[in-house]
Amino acid sequence: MVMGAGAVAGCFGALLGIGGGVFLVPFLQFVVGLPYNVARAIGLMTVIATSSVVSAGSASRKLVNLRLGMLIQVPASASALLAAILVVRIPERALFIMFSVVLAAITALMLYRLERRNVILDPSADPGPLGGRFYEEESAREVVYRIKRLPVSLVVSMVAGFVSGSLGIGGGILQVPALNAWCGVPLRAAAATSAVMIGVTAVSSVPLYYARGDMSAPLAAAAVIGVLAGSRAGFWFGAKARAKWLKLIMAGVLMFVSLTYLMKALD
Amino acid sequence: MANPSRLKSVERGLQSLMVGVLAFSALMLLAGLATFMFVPGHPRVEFLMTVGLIVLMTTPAVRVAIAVLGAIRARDWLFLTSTVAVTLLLGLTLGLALAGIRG
Repeated sequence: MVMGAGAVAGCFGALLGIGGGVFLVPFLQFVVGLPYNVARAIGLMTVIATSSVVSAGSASRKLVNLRLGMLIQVPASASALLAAILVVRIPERALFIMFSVVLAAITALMLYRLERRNVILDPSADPGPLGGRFYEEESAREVVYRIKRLPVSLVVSMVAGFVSGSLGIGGGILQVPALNAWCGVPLRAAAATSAVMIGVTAVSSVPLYYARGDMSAPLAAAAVIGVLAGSRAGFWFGAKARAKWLKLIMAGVLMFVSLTYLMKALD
Repeated sequence: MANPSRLKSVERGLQSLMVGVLAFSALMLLAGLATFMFVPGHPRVEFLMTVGLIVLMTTPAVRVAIAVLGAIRARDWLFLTSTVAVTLLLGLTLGLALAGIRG
């Protein structure tokens, strides 16, 4: 059951660039009945697994903006580490409410800017110091994008890192919509870049949970194996899907997870 | 000044390394899980799964380390600054974990 859930989590995680934790942690906690700290540690391992599959794959290479990714990774890693240190002092209910509210806001933003595309169809355009270019199947040509509002991406990454370290998810669920809606990054490039960076965010906190004894090795192994199998399929689908449909799927996932955590917080 | 073509060549080399590390981790986890399920109580179960999980944890760190080398090769100083900063943070995490900080 855990392996199957991991496969589904890996597929959606790679498809949307958000890692598997956002699906798996609620499943482990509310369906399997694991303590929150154990579910969190396993969730972070599955995020690393999803991220590693994307990093090892060739399809994502042209979409990943590593220069931008590493820059926004600095606040993400710092806050993930801080979260892992402080989380024992934060009530679970407070974390759930915080996460629920942030997800709802991101969902609203994504739906508001559903038709927005961040690509420049002129391949000779200058992407700037942090932008990029890639071949887009929808346009059947190479497209360019430029980064806007860099400070916003740094702040969002800091929040995403804290959420990752405290809730056991990758943080991509915040970074991808924000990079797409506010910072000028096309959805596929945002998803691919996020999918690579969330592994670094997760590994900024998971060793502390491992040292605390929060990791259940057999369950983590089962979840990771499921994720490794499912994430390859997810990334293949993502390359074929239209950006608008990816946004709608992500908005639906965000809303579902937001309501789940809100209900648990109010329980 | 940044050299994008050098950056890309480092990225290509990274792919083979990541595939190998990931395959090894998956193999250890599969072996550990299979042993756990079919030979419960086997003394090697914990070792196999622990090795698999730890190797998996190293893959993002390997990616960052390769990115540092790529930044140096490409003479991309902004990229180098951010990758070194991330490396230091990961080192801090590891140090705290080893020191057994419980928060």
